[in-house]
Amino acid sequence: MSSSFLHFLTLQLFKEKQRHLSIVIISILLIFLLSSVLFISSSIRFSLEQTLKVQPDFVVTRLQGGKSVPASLDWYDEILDIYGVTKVTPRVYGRYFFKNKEKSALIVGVDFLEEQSHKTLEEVMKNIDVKEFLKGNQMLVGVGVKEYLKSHFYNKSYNFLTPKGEFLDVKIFNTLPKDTQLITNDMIVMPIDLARKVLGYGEDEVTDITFNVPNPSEWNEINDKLLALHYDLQVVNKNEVKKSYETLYNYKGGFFLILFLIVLMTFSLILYQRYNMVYSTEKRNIGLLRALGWSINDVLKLKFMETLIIILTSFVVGVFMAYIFVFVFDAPLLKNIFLGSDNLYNSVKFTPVVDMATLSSIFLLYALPFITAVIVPVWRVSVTNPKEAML
Amino acid sequence: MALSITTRVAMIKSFLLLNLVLIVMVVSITLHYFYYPKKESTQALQTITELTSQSKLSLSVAYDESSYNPTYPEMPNLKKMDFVYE
Repeated sequence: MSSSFLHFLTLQLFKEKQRHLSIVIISILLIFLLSSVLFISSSIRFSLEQTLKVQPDFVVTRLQGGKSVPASLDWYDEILDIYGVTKVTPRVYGRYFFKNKEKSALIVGVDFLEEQSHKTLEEVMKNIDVKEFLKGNQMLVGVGVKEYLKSHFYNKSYNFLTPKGEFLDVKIFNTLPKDTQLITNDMIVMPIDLARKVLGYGEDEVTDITFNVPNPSEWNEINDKLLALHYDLQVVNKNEVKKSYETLYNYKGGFFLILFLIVLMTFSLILYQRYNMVYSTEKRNIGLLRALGWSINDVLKLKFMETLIIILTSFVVGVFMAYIFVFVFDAPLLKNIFLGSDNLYNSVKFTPVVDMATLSSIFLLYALPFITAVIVPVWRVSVTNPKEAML
Repeated sequence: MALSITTRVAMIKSFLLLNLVLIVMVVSITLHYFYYPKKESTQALQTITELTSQSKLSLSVAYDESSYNPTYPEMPNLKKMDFVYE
């Protein structure tokens, strides 16, 4: 490409920047919004997929009238007896509603007397004195819970009202790490026996039981064995959880993609309309270039380059703004679409994940209609007689 | 008469400047992407999942105690967001 062509292109772009500015701004906004949604969705999906790797393979719950009810701790021993099953863990957890049922937190009971839990806790909370933590009624709270309690003047402890009508004073021992906020924002971790008291469970009751089956070819067999144990038993495996995550992101991502396609169609129509009615000066410019000896190919090349620069600039600026907005400023307002805003405030930090396949699809979906909407009218003008075009 | 390089650059100065800005943008997000401690944050999430056996998203939704739709019991409760999350 000669420097005089580049100079002419620069003149076309920058001397008449007012003409391009509105299109560039609208394009940047479109790309920014869609990329932001895409970045948030990819980041959450990535984090969930990573946690899913360490999640137990199976969850066994007890159903009564289609509703989940506490399971008996005897089931724990029955599952433990099944050949091929490892890491059987009874879970006690439930939602605790603060005053007036306005806000709620997820109470999770952990058996800290187990050596593994002991070690994992030390890994999660650096410099924690586990023995100190296990002395008396104490809990670890998520950042969201901590802020909520602080705003209600519960700086050191909170009085839980148990289903039996008793108050249980539990001290806040520490706050769970900020980088786990995607999962722990509304979480309260406490010893399993304390969680039973707060949630009103009996001593031999658990919410559900989890376990692993290291050999995937045994999954179906173990599933059948479990279902034969009790009639009121429900088994959910990791693949089903994975499937539901995919459904969620296809649902949300697809929803935004449809919105984007509608907006893009409208945008392309407006562009086509605008360039179709190539106003007199533009028509005269093309006529002049043709009269000066430019071929149709040269005129199309100039307009194509001009459009390509506008497209690339809008795309790079839009994606850059979206990246900064999501991964540096943590997507204020927009993250609420994915994480909600009715309960405790979540100031989650998103892990940077860029899905190149979707990003390139967005580029193609945006660039192709744009180029077509510009090139077709320009071609129609440039094929006419230069004399007629300049009239 | 051939133009000198300085004149040629001066002619397309704005074009070059625009390119430079775009390159800076791409390079800065690339650097941020590759230097972000992704492993540490993933590790932290995995460890907390191992400890609590919970991997549900900490959604900020108003939870409804009733898990079924009172008008159409065979349908899921549409007020709940976790019907797609869980």
